[in-house]
Amino acid sequence: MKKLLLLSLCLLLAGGALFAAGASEEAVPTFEGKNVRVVIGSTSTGGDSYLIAETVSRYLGKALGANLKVDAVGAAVALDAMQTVKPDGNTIMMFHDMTYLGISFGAYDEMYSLENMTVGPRIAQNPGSAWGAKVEAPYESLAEIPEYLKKNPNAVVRMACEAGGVSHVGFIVYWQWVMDTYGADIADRIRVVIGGSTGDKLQMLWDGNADVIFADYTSLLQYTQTDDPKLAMKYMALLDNIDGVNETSYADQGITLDGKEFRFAKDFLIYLPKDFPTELVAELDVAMKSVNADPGLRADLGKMNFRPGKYLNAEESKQFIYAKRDSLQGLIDRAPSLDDLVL
Amino acid sequence: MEVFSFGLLQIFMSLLGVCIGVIFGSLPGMTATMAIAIFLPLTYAYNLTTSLFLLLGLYVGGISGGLIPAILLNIPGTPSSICTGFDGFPMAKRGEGLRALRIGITASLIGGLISLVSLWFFTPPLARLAINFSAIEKFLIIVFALTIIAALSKGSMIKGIFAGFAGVLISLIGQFADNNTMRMVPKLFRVDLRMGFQLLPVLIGLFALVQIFQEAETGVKEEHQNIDLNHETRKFSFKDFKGQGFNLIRSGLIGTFVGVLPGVGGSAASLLSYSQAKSMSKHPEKFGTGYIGGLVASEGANNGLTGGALIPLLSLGIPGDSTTAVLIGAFMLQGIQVGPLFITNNPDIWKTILVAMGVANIFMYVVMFYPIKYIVKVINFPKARIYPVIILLCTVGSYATQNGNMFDVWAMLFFGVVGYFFAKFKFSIPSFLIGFILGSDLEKYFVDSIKGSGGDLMTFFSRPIGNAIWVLIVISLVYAFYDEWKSKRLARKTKK
Repeated sequence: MKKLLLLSLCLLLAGGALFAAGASEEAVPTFEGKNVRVVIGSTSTGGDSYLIAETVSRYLGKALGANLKVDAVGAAVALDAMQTVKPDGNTIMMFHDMTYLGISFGAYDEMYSLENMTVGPRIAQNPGSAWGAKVEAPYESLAEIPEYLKKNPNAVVRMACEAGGVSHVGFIVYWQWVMDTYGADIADRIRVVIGGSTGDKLQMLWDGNADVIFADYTSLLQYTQTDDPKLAMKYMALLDNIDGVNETSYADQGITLDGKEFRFAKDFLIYLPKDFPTELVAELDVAMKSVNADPGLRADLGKMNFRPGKYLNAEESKQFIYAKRDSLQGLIDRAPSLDDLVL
Repeated sequence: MEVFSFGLLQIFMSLLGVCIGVIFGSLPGMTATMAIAIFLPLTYAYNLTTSLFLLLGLYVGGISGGLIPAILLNIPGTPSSICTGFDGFPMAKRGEGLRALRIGITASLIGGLISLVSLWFFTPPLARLAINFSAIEKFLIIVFALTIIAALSKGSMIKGIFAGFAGVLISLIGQFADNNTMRMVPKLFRVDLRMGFQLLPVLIGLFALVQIFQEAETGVKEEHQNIDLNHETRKFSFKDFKGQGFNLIRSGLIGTFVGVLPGVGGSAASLLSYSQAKSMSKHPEKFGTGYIGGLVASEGANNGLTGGALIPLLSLGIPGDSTTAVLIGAFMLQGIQVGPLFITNNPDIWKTILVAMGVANIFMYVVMFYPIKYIVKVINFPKARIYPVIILLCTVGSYATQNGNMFDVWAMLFFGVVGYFFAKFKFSIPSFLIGFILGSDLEKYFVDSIKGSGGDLMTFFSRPIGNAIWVLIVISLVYAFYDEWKSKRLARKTKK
């Protein structure tokens, strides 16, 4: 009986040792074979966040040997997920500059700041943010608006944008440039109207409640091509030039930030929970680098007017996005609140 | 460029879409929007034509499936089928469940076909009409839809109006998008309540859990409903629609019209239609008691929405409701832009959409009308078995609302308790829910109107279409109060 017990104990110990060895092999973190939830900061499946995340995930999933599933949960839930999920690679986030702008504008708590997550590689850019106006508007570009206001002392130009987002950045850069270049009298007659979706802002334009609206370049494209007088629009400025598109940007029109050329494309990065294993970050870097060169991905993103081939590894991405955030913080701090500029 | 052609694969995908859509629509907490969002990535695997047959099948099936639990269990499967239960459930209780379902399904088909015809022939003028509806008209339409609260509160008007206002107030919890300020949100729930309470957990809690709590309080007295389904008191016949033709067409048109207006929301369609049907009926007192007119109004309108909501999407690039907002992704993933030139630039895709909508409506009818006689038997399942299943489905549905958020399950439970006390103290649950559904749109369009006018409240009386809606609002309210006064007078006379 004793022998049997001893034998059992030995077998148990041997089994335990084997299990431990196996476990230690398992402990090397990898995305391979994982089901990965890719949260994005938008609930829309028609916007750039979903379209870029879904397209990149298909290619990235193959490169990682993992099953990536995009989950359009919205900014609040996505940011919270980065603070609450385990850093094991089962949940990652793909999102654009709203990741830090929400905190910079005070819409989200500091706990969601970039310092409390791990920055992964950059996956793509969307340069297509634009201002548009009705085709019969008495100015042809954003740069012409102050001149129009100078000639028409009673005129006011109302610009529709969202609070706390990329359009907010676009607006305050422009407003500050007008303020610095033309003075308070002109700047005070550029007022803001807060709008939500592109549909809401278009409705404001049709109702005569806004003169210039902010939207994605592609969402306004057909409005600039139609000759229907009620719908026809023209671009007033792009935040950044788009390859193959003959429309002027802030940089082309001389709209600067603190005297320096201003360009703003939405940078889409992978974000990960804090203390994310370096092995997994490295695996993402390698996979994203290979995917970045894939002509299929470039074609898929290109046909939606997004900018592929903008891969940066995690370390480069981190330095880039921190610098981008810091470059805007000064402007955000000194720009007047939209509450003061609202009509 | 896609070529307008379809074959067996597309027909099969449409059928598959309708079947899955009906299942999604009939499960509390699952919606057509979710079904389309889940299947959207399939757009990569198939070409756009095949994808559209699948996605539009899901859309039509998902909108239609909501009537099943609304009629059989008084639990709306989707927010747009709330009014269906008002008359469908009483019919089911008196042994006319199958008849009610078939009336609802037939009304859904006709509503869907009316909207398809509108989509086919009247897209440009309807899109133009939509543009002319400013925030002011949209605000007034929401107010008009809210007047149904007065009509539903007969017998306890004050409590009904209170419940409606409470619903509006609760709907405003969360972040105010204009300046990102958090409103009425305790610090503990800053993350979970940033976007406010979600509609589906609130709806499920108020309708499903309240019934179960009430049964739990009194004890399940009847093991099941004891309805003889083999010998229904009245069987379905197309003659049931005699006298309902005008109601049916009007409801289909109301649904289409509300769909055409971006941002007004699908639930408003059936509420407006039901309210109108009641106001214009020779027998308004029968509404809410298991009257065909109410069922037809609700189902005709919510399926009428399907084609209507595609009109602004395809002609302006603006989705008419939350489900068509998801559909944009299908076009974008193929690099196709929707907007004012979509139909001109993509005539083949346009024809595909029309055919796919027609096929989906026909499949919806076939898939639901005949097999429904088996599904209806759920009403006679022992309550001890069906209630746990309902709770399970409700929990899963709530959890899935925001793709896996436990807070929504707690919210469902919370509103179940709230609804239980509402019922106990005879406050109208539907009134609360209608206030909740319409509250955020009410605020949004009020604020947008005020922004446009620079704070001048007289702006609400400044537009001809708006003034016409004011007249309808006043008529609706006067009628509701007169009806209340008349019934109270009758009650006093009867007492004497």
